[in-house]
Amino acid sequence: MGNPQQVAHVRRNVWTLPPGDLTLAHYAAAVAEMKKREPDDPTSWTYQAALHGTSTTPALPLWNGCKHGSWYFLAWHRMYLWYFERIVRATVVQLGGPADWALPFWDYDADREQARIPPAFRDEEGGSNPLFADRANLVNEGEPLPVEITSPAYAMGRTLFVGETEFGGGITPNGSTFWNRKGALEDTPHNVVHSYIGRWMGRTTTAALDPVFWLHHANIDRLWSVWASRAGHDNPDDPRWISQEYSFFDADGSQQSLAASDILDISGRLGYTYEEPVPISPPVPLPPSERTPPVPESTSGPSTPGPTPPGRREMAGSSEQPLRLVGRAASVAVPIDRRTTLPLGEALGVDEPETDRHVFLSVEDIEGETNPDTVYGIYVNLPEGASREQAEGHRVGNLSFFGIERAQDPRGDEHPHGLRVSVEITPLVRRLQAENAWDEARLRVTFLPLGPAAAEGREGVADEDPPVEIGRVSLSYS
Amino acid sequence: MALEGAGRTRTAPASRSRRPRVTLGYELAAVAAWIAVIALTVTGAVHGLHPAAPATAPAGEVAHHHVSPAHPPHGVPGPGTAGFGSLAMWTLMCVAMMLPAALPALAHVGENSLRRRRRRAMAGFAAVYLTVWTGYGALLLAAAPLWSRPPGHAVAAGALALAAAWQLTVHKRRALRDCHRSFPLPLSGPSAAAGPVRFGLRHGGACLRSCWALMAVMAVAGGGAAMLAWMALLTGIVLAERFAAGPGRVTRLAAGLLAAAAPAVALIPAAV
Repeated sequence: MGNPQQVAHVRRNVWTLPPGDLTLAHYAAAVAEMKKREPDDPTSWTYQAALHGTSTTPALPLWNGCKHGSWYFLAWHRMYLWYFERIVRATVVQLGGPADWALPFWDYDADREQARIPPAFRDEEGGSNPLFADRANLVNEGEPLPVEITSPAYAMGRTLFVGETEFGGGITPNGSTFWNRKGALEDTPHNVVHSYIGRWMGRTTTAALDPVFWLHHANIDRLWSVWASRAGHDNPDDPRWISQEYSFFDADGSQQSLAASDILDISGRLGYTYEEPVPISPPVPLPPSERTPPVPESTSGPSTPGPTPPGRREMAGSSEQPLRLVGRAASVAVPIDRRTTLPLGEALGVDEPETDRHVFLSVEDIEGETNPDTVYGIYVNLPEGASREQAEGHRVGNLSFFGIERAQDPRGDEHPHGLRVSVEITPLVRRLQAENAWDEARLRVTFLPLGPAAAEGREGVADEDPPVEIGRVSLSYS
Repeated sequence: MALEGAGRTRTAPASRSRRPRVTLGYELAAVAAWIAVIALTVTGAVHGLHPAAPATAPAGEVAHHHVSPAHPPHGVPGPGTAGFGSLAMWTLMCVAMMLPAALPALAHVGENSLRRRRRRAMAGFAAVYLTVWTGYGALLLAAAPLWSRPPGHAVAAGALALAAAWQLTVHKRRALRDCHRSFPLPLSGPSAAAGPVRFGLRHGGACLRSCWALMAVMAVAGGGAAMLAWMALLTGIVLAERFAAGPGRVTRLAAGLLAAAAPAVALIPAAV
């Protein structure tokens, strides 16, 4: 990396750009120009998208480089976005636009209006709109993304970066595109927004061809920046993470490299910043309950200088049979092994002496041929006939399938993986215990499709989604 | 689920508990197997598995024993026999050579089992996995008369050439990929006890498809220091393929190494 950047480029909220602002017009013109470039030009639209992933063979230099399901996810995508922005900016300037052009971000969680895809991206305009792409779930008709998938509340409430259920993801080797130790931010909103928008956005090999990809990732990058700026939140200092370098193409077509240590100071080292952050929702996604025992934000005690990572997880129960999802609600029972949980004291979620006990729900060995473009909410002990508001009190996370094709059938030297989602459910367990609604013998996990299709009910729908099979749903504690 | 990921999660920073790795016992078992094989070889108790058993050293090494094929040493079955001793030695070699490759899968079983059933589940997986390899060994030993007539070095050269060729097939690549697949392990219900057994069969099967040709070299290799040298080399290949970030390159490199070794062994009988 060269000298620190002199100019601060401000990435602004796409929905609150002032009237007459030309940020998106310049973006559209640059995208159109990049789409005209030769496919083997590293600054062309298709080449830039292929850096993330492509099904085209043979692969050209740096193609298929994206990192997912890994603690490298955020760093790789920040670098990717930064170089892409430089290429677009140079193109904007080449076309007579301003030298301070910066990518806008799409803050779909700001409110219901902003949860809709910006109008400039929706209309095909007879094929003349370079920002248009085919999208699922009526997104291009202005349907807002469901609030369940846009909220980064769970992720922003995690105090640690490293760890499968923590903010940034679990430790994985560098190399493969898809591991399955994704962090909370990568899961929601990143993966679920990809999957819900669907079509190109729903597949790693085509996602970056959709112009809204870059605004989505600018928002993910912004959320990382906001998280890291909060007291007590630290990015990894592990040498394996901090020194990891990745290569990209710069605006002049030259190959350049950055290490994670180069990208942590975005204004000082990378020369950009974000518009004043829009307030983020409260960190605990569960509705308030007067009887809810206080949930410690971290596991640290009074004498502990910082948050302590949970220890090794111990299994307490799992589903007994695989579960097949085809776009409709589905439930599975998870028997709890009482001989495992009883020695813990009262049970999994008691206050004393197990205040630092964490309970996790994992959905494991998820396999399928293709991403069905359906996102499910994961609900624990959902009462029969619960309203959406009641159901929200039982939702512990989301299940989406972004990358399922590549994870299951990777290229080259990569190893096949089933996908995996893991969330901490300690607050819900404690609340249900306080309400005498916690069954010590078993829990029931329900998967409900999110979005308009779910609201209308899909029982009468003849077509099923391409099937996705869940190998196991497990309950564990640490 | 990624088997590698499951193993590496334990390296997350500052684990609250300092419990040993779940696979520690199996790691020690593999080390013990190596010590046992070395001890048995050095003391002359065994001299390899090939019925002709030309107990000579590989190129550049000095054999501890030179035994006429017509007069097998004590502890080694005569030509054409597939005795219990040879099968036991084969099993010991499998524990030394192949058990380390299964450590991520063993960790997967251990970490995804109830604590009170962890030992049983891991033992069940390991037993089935090793049974797959022992069954293969029994098959090789039963078929030993087929290659007891040609000179040992010619058979070994053929086995090396076969192993080199297998390394380059798409079947090898698929098998190696299957070695990285995990398996859902129910904790209760009728499938709970069968889970580790089924996973052991599947993982052992994938491992066998990946490494059968490599291990066939061990079946026809000579004894003594030569056997130890081949064990070390082949174990290195198996583990590098299994754990390297870029196994394709390792596989091709190993193919080249084995292909080069084949004519060397054919021309220099002392190398096997």
